[in-house]
Amino acid sequence: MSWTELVFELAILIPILVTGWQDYRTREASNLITIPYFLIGVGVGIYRYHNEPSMWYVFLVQGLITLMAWFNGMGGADWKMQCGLFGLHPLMGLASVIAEGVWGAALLVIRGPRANFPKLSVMAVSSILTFVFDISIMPNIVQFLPGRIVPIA
Amino acid sequence: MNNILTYTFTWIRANRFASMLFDKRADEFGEKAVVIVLVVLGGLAAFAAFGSAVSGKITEAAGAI
Repeated sequence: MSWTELVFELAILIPILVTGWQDYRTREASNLITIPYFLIGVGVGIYRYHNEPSMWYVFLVQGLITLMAWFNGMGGADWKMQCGLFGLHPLMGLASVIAEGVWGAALLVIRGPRANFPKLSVMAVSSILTFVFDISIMPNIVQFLPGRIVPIA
Repeated sequence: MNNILTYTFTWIRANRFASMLFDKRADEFGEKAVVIVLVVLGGLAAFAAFGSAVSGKITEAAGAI
């Protein structure tokens, strides 16, 4: 991983860590971070598609998440950060969605329905783990996966 | 009358989007998180199955334009 890629990934990671901490403490996240993150993420998604048309699945996932937020009542901060993360780093976005699903399923089994959890905190933890894998062994694994899911800074 | 209804429904939709955009809530129910992961993985599975065909159609259409 080059220095530019490292800086790019840290710039993606730091707002998630800050909002994850805010979510853990107050169950809310600041709009000063989430709204720019959402707008930049959607913009970067468009740029990715412009560079490589096969990246349109980023729009697909962002659209699905938006539909879920519209009809299913997802928290606004969750929606913005999730869409932004998918645009900025699709692999971190996918890892965070899977982590949230696993966490939600475990919560459902342990505490039953209507038990809630700080989603941005789970997203922060999964993003850190993805970053650690990304700077260690991940590039050796993803070269065998179909499509380019690791972004280029 | 029709214009008023159209304006009203457009305003409600815009207002819903604005409320989502400025919403600070960040907690989630376990069952909703499970539904979201299933929907996203289903969408990605559909993309893996039909993605290249759709990308080909988009490129073809863009070329025709």
